[in-house]
Amino acid sequence: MPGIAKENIRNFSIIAHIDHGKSTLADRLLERTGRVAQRDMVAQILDSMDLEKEKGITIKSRAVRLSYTAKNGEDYVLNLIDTPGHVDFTYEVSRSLAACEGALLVVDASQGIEAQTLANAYLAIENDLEVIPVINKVDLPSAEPERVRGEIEDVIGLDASMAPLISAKTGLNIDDVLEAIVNYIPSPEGNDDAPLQALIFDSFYDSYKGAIAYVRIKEGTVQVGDTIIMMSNGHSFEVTEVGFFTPDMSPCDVLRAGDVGYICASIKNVQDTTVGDTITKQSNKAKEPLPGYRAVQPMVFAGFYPADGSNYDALRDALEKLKLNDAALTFEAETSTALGFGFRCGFLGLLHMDIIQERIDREFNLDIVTTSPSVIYKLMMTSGEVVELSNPTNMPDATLIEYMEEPVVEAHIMTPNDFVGGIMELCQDRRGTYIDMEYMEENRVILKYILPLNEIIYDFFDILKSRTRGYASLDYELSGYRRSELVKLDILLNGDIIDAFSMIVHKEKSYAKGRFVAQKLKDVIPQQMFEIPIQAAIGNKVIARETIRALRKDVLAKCYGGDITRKKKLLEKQKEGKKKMRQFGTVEVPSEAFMAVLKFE
Amino acid sequence: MSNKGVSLYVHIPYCRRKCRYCDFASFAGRGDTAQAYAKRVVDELLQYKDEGLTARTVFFGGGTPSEVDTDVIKTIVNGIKESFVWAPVEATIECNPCSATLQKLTEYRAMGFDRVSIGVQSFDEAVLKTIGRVHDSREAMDCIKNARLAGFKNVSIDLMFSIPGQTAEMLTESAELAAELGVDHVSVYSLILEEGTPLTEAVDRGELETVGEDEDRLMYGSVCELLAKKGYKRYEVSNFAKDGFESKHNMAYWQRLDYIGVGSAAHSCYMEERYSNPVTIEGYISSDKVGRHAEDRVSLTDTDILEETVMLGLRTAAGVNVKRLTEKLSDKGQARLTDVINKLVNECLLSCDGDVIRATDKGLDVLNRVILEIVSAF
Repeated sequence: MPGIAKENIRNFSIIAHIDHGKSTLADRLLERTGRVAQRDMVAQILDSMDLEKEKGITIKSRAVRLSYTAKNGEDYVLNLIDTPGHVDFTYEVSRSLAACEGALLVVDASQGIEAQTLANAYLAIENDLEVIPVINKVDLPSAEPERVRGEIEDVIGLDASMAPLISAKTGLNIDDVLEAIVNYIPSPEGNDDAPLQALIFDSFYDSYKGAIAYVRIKEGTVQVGDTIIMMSNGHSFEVTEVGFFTPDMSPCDVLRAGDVGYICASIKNVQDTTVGDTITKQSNKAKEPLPGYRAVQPMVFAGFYPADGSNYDALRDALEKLKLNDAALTFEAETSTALGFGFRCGFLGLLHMDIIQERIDREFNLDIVTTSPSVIYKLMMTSGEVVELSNPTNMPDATLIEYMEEPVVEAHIMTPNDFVGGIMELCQDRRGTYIDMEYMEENRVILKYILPLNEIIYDFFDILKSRTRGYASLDYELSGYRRSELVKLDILLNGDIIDAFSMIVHKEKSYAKGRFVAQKLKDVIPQQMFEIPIQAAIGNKVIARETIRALRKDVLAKCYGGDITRKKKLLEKQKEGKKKMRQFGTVEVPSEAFMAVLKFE
Repeated sequence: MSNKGVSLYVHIPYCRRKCRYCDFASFAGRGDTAQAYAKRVVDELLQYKDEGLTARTVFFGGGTPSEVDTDVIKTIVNGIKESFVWAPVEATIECNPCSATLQKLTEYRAMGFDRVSIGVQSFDEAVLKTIGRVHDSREAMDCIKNARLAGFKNVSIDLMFSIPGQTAEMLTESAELAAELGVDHVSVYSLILEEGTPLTEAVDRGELETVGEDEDRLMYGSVCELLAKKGYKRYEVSNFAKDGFESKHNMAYWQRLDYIGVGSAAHSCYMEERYSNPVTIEGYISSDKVGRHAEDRVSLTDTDILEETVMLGLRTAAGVNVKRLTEKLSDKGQARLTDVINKLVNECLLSCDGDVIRATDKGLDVLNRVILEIVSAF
């Protein structure tokens, strides 16, 4: 669409709490603007990863260019940048928002404002975006759009009088959303003649085109043949293709200030398209880069090991590719006596870790084993030194440690007040410190707690959801370190410590945790041809013990009339299972055991 | 013409009523289709007519072959004679105690069958009731006697164990009675609770309690011991025979000799190809994807053959000749195999006698794992 005036461009994101219908609204907008023929329409079209469709969540940011003829008769280009909704991915949201002038804040008409709605809305406001509330799912019998409208005004302080009341599912009032985008979101500023400043908000590796930068052009223009420079490292490349997302990549002649699109420049090294970097041109260099993003800090660490040791290089390659468009992922080589060579990886949270693990499995076809996730502990040594510890295996001798500190978060839990008791109990149980409780409206509150990070990374969210029948929502932010009585819990199989199972736990919880892990391992480790003792120990002291009995029987009865298919199927199944086993001395442990021990309760 | 010997299995999918544990391809109350079924079997047999094959062993199984009219069996036997050279060294027909009358047994003998396999399962009334067999122990004993009267010199019975409510004593008592009655061959099967069978549903509802692994092994151990004492040798995991009465037909399965299965749901392993027939009676009668035209027909790869050799051979007292494996393996594969065999011998799961490996008693209990270890080395 050449020649569209800057005044007729709108760059916007959709932000929402998970499950409030963000992806469905995106689908409707695409459909309504004719971007995707109805017959090609599949649900969650922007969520191209199978994983996203299955989990019903958006993991990666994505962009698409829509054409819309408004009621005023003018043609507009609407660039939609899709964002993730889960608490683990707040960072991704902030990246997307930096590329926009406005955001649609989708709120469920029956659920109302949730913790993530609030967090994302504030993020958008901090980024100086025009925020348009959109009240979704008004077709549901439980919908209370007017109550929710009031809630948006009272709690967030946004004017919601013009908020479209829609049903993304049925397509009701989608035009109101499009009109609101045109009428309320400002058009981009920027000067085509200024030196190029293009913000990389995402990137993607294509085996033919190299690393592709998803950019928002803030100033200037870029076209094929231009020599571009990455401002963070000064590396230069010749542009081979520029274009828009429709949502597939469609090449165009030039990207101008205000546009959202992509740049290909045969970039081999994925590190050269770092998200947050600014691209400029050799011929007319920008004086300084655009403000980047706040550096993202991984909070959860775990060892990733190839199930088959010979895949070590393949795993590194996979991690490098994933890191390209996932700045939050960190990794460095490490070794484990139990698991061999692998990587210590850093993640935003457990969901992030889960997703990386599944992507490695699906996109790179690599079987991996993960160790117990850990956070970064600070060890105050008797020598006066401060040691940071992210791998429990490396914990120094207890006599050398003066005391330990663990990271804590400030958690905001939004809930109907019926569940306050249960949530407080949960937070208490997780060693939380109560800060405050605020009434948002008559029967909804925000509970504020300081919680140790290692108490919430595993299963806190799941339990919170189940105890509140899905009504509570959670948002948290790292708030510092706190002194704590922590110990290293070791797990022994057949008398040998399996370092990959070692974990740091609070002293008071060590017995319960030890018993739980021993029992869980008893459940997930299949019987073998000999008896296997499982022990949990702190130092030399065994605190829990279980035994996996020797397998007594595994033999099939007759193969009737020469039908051996059952035997063959069983053998194939057992062969598959064996491939997923890790050998520790004489004991075989299934890969899933490493994750299974985490789900406590 | 080569005149090659094959084992021939004929499936007769009819039953008076379906037993409570049964998930085999058998159908109750469908006797009206038996004539059409027999014709289709004869038709299928014709596929092999030009091969010049000799029926070295014959086995009529089911279902319950004794449930259908003898002329149905007769039609099929004649069909075999039309397409194969009929010179079996063993011809077995499976019988149910309540349908195999002396009259029928005499007719089978006259058709050329020389072995009967009787589905006794147990001589304990309570156990028979649990599994829903139509006969009682009296009928079972009569059937064995009638088989002798009809001239069968080779009589086999099936016994089952690990049936809810059954004890090791009940099992050994049945085996002891079988020995007293002088049967020549006993098959002893552990009950498998198959999904969707009434027995499994009763267990799921908590009406019946399953037999635990330890009790199962205790039963198996005691029945092995008793049968050994009575002169029956275990020549395969579930099969026991007096000297010279090992089933030649069943051994063909374990030794991977050529066998052809005809009739619904029948499986074949012929010329290193495996294939099987439609499972339902109607499907079998109406489909042309039968026998060598079966949709699932596959050629076995070298690895398949190696795996099968181990999987089936280790079930037998004859064991597996390692040379049959190593000649098809790379040097690395051979080295891995040697390591695994040594490990399993050290764990007392295998015994090694020259080139022959056999599963020990302990190894037989966990045979699937032993097989898995070995095939993982290929």
